[in-house]
Amino acid sequence: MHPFFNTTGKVFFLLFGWLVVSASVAALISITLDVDLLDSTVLVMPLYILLLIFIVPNYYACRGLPIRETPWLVLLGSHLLILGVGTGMWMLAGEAYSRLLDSFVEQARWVSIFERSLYINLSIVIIQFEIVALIHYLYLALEATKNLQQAALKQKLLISQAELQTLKATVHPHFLFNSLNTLSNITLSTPEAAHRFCLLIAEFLRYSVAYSKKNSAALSEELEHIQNYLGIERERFGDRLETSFEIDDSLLETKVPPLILFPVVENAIKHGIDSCIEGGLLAIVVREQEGSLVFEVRNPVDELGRKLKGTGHGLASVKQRLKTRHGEKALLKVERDNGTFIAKIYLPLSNEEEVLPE
Amino acid sequence: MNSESETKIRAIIVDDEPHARQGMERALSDFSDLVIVGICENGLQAVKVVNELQPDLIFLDIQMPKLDGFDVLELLGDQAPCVVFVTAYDEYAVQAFEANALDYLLKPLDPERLNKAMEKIRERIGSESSPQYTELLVGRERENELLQRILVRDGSDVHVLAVNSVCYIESADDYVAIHTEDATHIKLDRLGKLQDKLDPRQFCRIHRLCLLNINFLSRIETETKDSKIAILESGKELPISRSGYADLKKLL
Repeated sequence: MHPFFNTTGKVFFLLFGWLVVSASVAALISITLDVDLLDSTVLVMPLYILLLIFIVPNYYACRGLPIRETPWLVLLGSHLLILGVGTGMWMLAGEAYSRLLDSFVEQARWVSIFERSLYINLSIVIIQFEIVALIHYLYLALEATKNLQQAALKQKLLISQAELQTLKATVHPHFLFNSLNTLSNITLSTPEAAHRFCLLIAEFLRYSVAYSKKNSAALSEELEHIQNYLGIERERFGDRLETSFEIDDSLLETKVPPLILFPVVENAIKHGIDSCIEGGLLAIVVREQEGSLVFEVRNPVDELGRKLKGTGHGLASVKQRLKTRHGEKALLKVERDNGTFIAKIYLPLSNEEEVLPE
Repeated sequence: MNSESETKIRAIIVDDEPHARQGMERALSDFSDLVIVGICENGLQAVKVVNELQPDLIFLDIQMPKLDGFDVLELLGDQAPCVVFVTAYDEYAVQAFEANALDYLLKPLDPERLNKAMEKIRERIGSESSPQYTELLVGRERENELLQRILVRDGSDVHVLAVNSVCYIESADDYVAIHTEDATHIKLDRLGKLQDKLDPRQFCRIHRLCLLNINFLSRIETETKDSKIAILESGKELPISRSGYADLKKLL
């Protein structure tokens, strides 16, 4: 639906405008050519309603030929063509209409009025064609800004939802229960270890709460957070959890979305190490590859182990966050290879700003 | 063992977390009428130790790798001694324990609750009436979807079979014989019950006594007009009954 006709108010406003314009033109012709006002009105009014019908579809042409993206020659050519065809058709219609009028009366006069007023009519029609095109473009520009704002808002909402999800996942009740149990056991056996354990949990929670609201964090901070997490889980798992890190030090200051790497590590523990009777090695590698930061986590998984509910939820939320932040430039890849689970996060290393509205 | 320890309750602790095992051991050391005869790190060990030591009581953690507490219970079957379940957060498990009036403890351990549980256990072990755990497992099976693995116990050994590796299952009285490509396992179960838990698009009852994994089917041969034989990829031949053939045809 044409945006000028989508409410009755707009339609009335438009018709009123047209009435004023056509009445003025009728008066102008009547004065300059010294013809009867009634005669010029009878000729002009219906023809200008017709013009309205000719001009309005111009909107679709304007929409199809966006000013910024269309080469100016194409733009000019297209509009000249539309103008030529439009005015030509309108002229033919005017000629036909005035002949029709003349055929009803004894004293033919409208064909002569139409032909004599052609230069006035043509210039007004051309001006109107172009003014309407400008109005259309103005309208489209406004609309685009509005859409952009809406999209930005929507994305902001998406991101905050994902962020909330991360926070929720980070302080998952099961994690808290497990940690609490471990703590209650070590407070009795080794009070000093209990104190260290409390520090780890405090650091871990502090980071989770603070950084889930931030826009970016240094890779080094993220890795420290992951170390804290693994420190907590190491208490719980004992010998069942081994870890190894292989980090490209030149990447440590790279900015990454906060808490985007953590769910992959958590997933490796929950569904990997904890599925294996003997546990195993959780290996983390950070390296650069073709302009991307690659964060890789490898862990053993027992395919015949007890299946936990909710598998893959954490990873799905990582995927969504990567997509809202970086579009196609970031991704999460997972593969299973004979009892090994490998998850890789690719983040673009370029300095260009994220598609992230503040 | 002296005569005094004969009258003590012989218990084992099953938990995958080292601190939890120590914590439980410490808490139980307060009870002079209880002796800990074994500590297990996982379900596999638990089955083995119960089989070998025949304890009176298990403190059984629910969340464990590979075999959880319920799996252990299923594998032990009638051999299961008195069980006190231990769980940190399993909402479903707690509901099931409540519904079946079974003893359970929550982590972290509350000494008072442990005291109460021990009182109940003394009564129960004195009365020789072992509680029924089957109800608990039935409820759990309903909860689960299609079976992905089959647990079998051979004395102290536990085998976890991937359903996809099972060629066919034969029924023999109260047992089923589960044939994989390289071994046969005996399980105390009914073929019909097992069939209900397996994917009906993968397993077909080709005979009253045989459930076939159609992925291992090579071809069907007609021996006489009314008797057909399924030839497996391994060359093994299995008879197909008339209704079994109808089912099989529908599936293929």
